[in-house]
Amino acid sequence: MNITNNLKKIRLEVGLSQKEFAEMCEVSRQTIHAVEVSKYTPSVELALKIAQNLELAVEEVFQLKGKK
Amino acid sequence: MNSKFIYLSKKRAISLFLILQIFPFLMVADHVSILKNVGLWIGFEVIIIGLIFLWQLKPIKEFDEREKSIVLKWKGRIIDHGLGVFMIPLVTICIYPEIEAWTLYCIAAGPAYVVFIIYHILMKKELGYFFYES
Repeated sequence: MNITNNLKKIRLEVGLSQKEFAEMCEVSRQTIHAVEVSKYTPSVELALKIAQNLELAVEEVFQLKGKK
Repeated sequence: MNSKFIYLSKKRAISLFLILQIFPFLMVADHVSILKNVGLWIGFEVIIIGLIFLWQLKPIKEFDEREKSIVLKWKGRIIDHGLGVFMIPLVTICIYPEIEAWTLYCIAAGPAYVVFIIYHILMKKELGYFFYES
């Protein structure tokens, strides 16, 4: 995977469980888990939805590996 | 919720049943007792309808993008490897034409079910339905 994310860190900071956040993003809890552990790279649509639900810019949540 | 799966409706089951009527003709050509032929015929129908039911298992909810991609991936594998399994009896009958219909039936149906069931389990595992990880 060339994309990393700090979704888990941000989600925990916001105080949301995987299940609650999954419901907000209209996906399954397993998908949120897969994104968090970088097992699955979300589509642009889902990435934008995740960022929107966290009230952040998409690049604050997802980064290209090796880029700051 | 809406589902894009095709279910085995009454109409489809009847169509399937009518299509499956060709099997007795194949069985009759084998010159074994009528009872055995009927048994084999029913067996084949059960196997085929069973495989279709497994294929069209109704999802309990609408899949998201990740789940859809996993389901498509595994269904593709089921088609590839499932068809590969059906090559076993075809090759067997070419090499050994005297083979009994019952044996042929067993080597066709057994591995096909194994492929379907194992692949469905692997698909569910990849979907994350077995273990809770957080």
